[in-house]
Formats: sequence, C-alpha cells, structure tokens
Amino acid sequence: MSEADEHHTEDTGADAAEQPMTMAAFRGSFYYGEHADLQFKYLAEFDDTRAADAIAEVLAMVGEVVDTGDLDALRSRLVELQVAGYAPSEPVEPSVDDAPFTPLSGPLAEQRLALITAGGVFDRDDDPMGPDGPTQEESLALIKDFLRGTPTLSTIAVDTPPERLTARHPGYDARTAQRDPDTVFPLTHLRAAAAEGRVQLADEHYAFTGATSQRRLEQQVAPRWAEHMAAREVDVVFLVAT
Amino acid sequence: MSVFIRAFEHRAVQLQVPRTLVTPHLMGRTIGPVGDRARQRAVVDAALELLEEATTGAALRRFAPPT
Repeated sequence: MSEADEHHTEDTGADAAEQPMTMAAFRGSFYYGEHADLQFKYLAEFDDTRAADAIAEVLAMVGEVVDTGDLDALRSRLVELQVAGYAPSEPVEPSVDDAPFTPLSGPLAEQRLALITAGGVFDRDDDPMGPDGPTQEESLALIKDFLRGTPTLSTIAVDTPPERLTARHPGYDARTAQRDPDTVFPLTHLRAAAAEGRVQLADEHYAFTGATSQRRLEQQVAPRWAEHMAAREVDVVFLVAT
Repeated sequence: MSVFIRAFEHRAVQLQVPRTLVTPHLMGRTIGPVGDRARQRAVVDAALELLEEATTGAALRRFAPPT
C-alpha cells in the first residue's frame, strides 16, 4: 500500500465517523461555505438532481479537454449553466421609473471617455482598503460587510500599466482580473482605440466593488462620482458590470 | 455605455440601462477570457459601435463572437 493510499484509508475512516454530507449541503457549500467557489456558487440554486447532473457533465467535459485542449465547448456549457443559475424566478420588469438617454454630443472621435468597472480593480500602490487590505480569499468572509458598506471609488491613471493593477471582490473570483485586468477593465484596449483616433480618453479611470450597498451606491455615492467625472469634462462613461 | 454578461442581462433590463452590450462570457470575464486579446478588443469595439449607433434608451445588443 502506498503512502497516499494509507492517507486515503485514514481519511475514509475519519469521514465515516461523521455525518455524511447531503447533496443539498454539498451544493449549498459552494455559496460561501466549505467548498466556497465564486465561479460555481450558483449550484446552491439548483435542486439536487440538476446540481448532480451539472457537476457530472462538467467533469466529463474536463476529461475531454485534458485530451483535446479545446476549451470552447466547456466554456460555452459553463456560460449556459451560469445563465441558468442566475435566471430570475419571475418575469423581468423594469425596477426604475425612467430610462434616461443622452445622445452623443458629436462624433465619437471627439468624445472624452472614462472607463469604470464594478470589478474591484485597483492600483497595487493605492489599495482602497488600505495597505493591509484583505486578500481575495479573505474577502469572502467579509461579504456581509461589503454588502452593508459604502463603496469606494478607486482612481486609475490612464497610463497605468496592467501589471500595476490587481483586484479584490467578494462576489466573483477576482483572481481572473488579477491574472488579466482587461477581463473587466479593458483600459489596454481603449488606449489602443484612442491611439487609432476612435475616441478620446480622460486622464482618470475608475473602479469600485459592485458587492456593496446598492441603496448607498444609487442615492449617495454615484451622483457624487458623476459630478466628479463631469468636472473633468468626461463626455461618456464605459461601465463594465461584473 | 455598459457591458454585462448574459447571466446578468436581466439586471440591465430591470435597471433600464441606456446602452447595454451583452457578452457570452463567464462572471469575472465580462470583456473576454484571460489573455484573449482579440476577443477583448472585439468586445470593446462592439461597445463603442453601440455607443455611436444607439438612438433610444434601453438599447440592448448581444455581442456575437466572430466565427
């Protein structure tokens, strides 16, 4: 028997003495529980059969990808599962009374654009939670504090290189944005578009953590942010939701 | 101009966002997969096109990846 097998036997013995985890508890544990995984937290919304089928299907597809290296089918299926996981339980109706629309004041090439993401991106040297701010992993335990808190606007200079950026967000797995900030903060691509004369860019761009008090965001903070941008002669805002 | 993933398309409808581009991407990758520069740039270009072309509020367009 190998050392690994011995450990496995020991683990099995220990587990047998505990209550077996039910399927409901297992799928629920992806939502800030024992198996917390922000990429799959929607499994908590599925019933047992649907969750079991989804997990089995994804594992089978992972096995295929190991051999083929083709991620497209797996990515597409994961998107479908995520859409199902977040599908509203009732028909969607507007939750606001109006839909303000401001036409562009001129050609896009003459517009001064600011980027803002809800993805919790920030300059490594300017952590909105201070120099000892929590890591991405630590932020999960703080989700309730985030949801009750007042959002902070991070300012990111237009010439900030991507390697200076990082991200933290207790609502999605921000390790993705840590690996590539352009996944939620496409400043690199907007700089390229500006260099081609497609649009002009403001000197400042912005980020906040979307997992926050929506009431404070809407009623207190966002109007101040809009005034801040207008004072810097921003014509249009490019918002990335996460 | 806003970009949402498909899983949250209903949020843009609820909020009557003036101009929304919906992408077929996973949460945390609204603009595109990690390292996929071509896809990310295509999304940015599509968003700028919608910004130029939308003439009424609550305009929603789904991003169609190049085939």
